[in-house]
Amino acid sequence: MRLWQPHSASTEQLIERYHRPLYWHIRRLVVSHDDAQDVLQETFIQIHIHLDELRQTDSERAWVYRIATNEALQWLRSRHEFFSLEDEDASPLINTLMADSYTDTGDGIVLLMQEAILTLPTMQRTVFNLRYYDELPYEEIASVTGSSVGAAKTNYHYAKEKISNYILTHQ
Amino acid sequence: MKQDIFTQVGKRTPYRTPEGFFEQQEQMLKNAFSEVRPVPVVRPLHRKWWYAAVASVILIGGIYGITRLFVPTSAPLIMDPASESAPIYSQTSSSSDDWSDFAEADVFLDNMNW
Repeated sequence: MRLWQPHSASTEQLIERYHRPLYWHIRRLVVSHDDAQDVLQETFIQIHIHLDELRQTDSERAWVYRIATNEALQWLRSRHEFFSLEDEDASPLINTLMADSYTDTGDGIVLLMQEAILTLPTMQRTVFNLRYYDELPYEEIASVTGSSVGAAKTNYHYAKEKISNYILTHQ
Repeated sequence: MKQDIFTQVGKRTPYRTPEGFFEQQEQMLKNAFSEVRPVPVVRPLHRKWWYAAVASVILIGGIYGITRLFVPTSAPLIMDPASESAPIYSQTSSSSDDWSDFAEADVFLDNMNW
């Protein structure tokens, strides 16, 4: 007879598996290293609290990425006066990228591509990061973003087009 | 040309972390969550059985208490007819004086016109 659920053990396993990829996913969304650290900790708190829901989900990876994405976007919304998601104004995020102590400004083309990504609307940016950097299948991206597979493919296609055009114009 | 940009840059990003960041982060997160003890969960099924057991004990105790209160255990439940004492006026009174005394003392008999 089991009197309690082994929450802590499972959380430790998830920390081992996902703390690195989740950090990079959050970092690409919130840009600053210090903010990414805070959001990562909040993400694992939410994972720990809602661990029972994991047993009801098909994809463990999609579930943890969904929590991380929600936490990162919530963080951006909480700084609405600085990062206006409605206006899709990327300049504060680009400023953060340039000002952060842990940004390597040495490689111009790498920096320019990241700038281009930061100019994308939030949904396109999230989908692009999940597909391009994390190599998630479209089904899992749809689960993370709460959209359809078709919408995820369309967002990724438009994101690539916009990034290419941005780089061509700003090079 | 558009595809060349992605091929050229690949997955490189300008984001960096402090030296040994991930090792420290992993250890810190594990320590934080290992201190959180799991909360014991009492299943509703067990609670139901506990309620039934407590209710049974109260019921049995109540019946026993009532029995003890109204039926004294020292006295026999069925009295022996031989030990039962009969009324004095039917056993010992044989004379008519006794009957008249009895009649005078009775409020109903007194009011009757003999």
